[in-house]
Amino acid sequence: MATTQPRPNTEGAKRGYSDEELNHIYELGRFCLENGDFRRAEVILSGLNDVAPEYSPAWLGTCCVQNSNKNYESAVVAAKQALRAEPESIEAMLFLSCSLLTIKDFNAAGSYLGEVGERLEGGSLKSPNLLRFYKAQLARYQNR
Amino acid sequence: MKRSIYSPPDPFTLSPMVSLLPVRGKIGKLEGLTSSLYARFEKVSALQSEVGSSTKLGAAKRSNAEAAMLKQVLDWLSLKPQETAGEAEE
Repeated sequence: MATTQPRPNTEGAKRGYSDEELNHIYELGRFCLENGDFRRAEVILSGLNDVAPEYSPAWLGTCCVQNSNKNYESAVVAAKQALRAEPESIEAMLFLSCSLLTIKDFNAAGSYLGEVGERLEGGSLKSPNLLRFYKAQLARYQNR
Repeated sequence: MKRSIYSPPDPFTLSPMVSLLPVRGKIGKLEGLTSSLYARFEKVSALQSEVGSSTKLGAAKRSNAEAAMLKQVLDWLSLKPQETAGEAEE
């Protein structure tokens, strides 16, 4: 499963919401996604994107929702927003690569996968599931 | 090691992207924020009625998304916060 990670300070772009409020509301969105309630998850995550555009996890959740709705271009936009909000996020890079592969933008996907690969060599990819997901996307890229 | 047939499926195999989403908070703690979230909802609803009569479409769209989000959260809290929150924290 995913692990708790620190996130950059986003004060000033949250329309008065505290970090605690954002985190707990996001958790409800994630809970809905895990339980297949994509409609409710979409509404919650979309609201978070509006009140806190610099809150990367909500964009990642939106990317999942858009992929499940087969809105692949919107999934790419959401993943790009997640990466813009948190440029070092490996999840954001992988979600972006996955979405780019789906819309057949292999060059861009390859460059993000290469960046993740470099971090992998540097030993900064510790989660086994992230590694599994990276390998799956790499296989998709190599079999294009 | 071989998995037991009675063990739950690996979340990654069911939905890889969802299983990779970072964990940032605790759903069970939302209950403690009910009053502040309700106050926000009332404020946004009041703002919506003001903005609705003006031509600021961007502001109207933003407050609609925020109100819809808060409504979903408050609806969920009023449904069965104890049981579902307990499940989520497991």
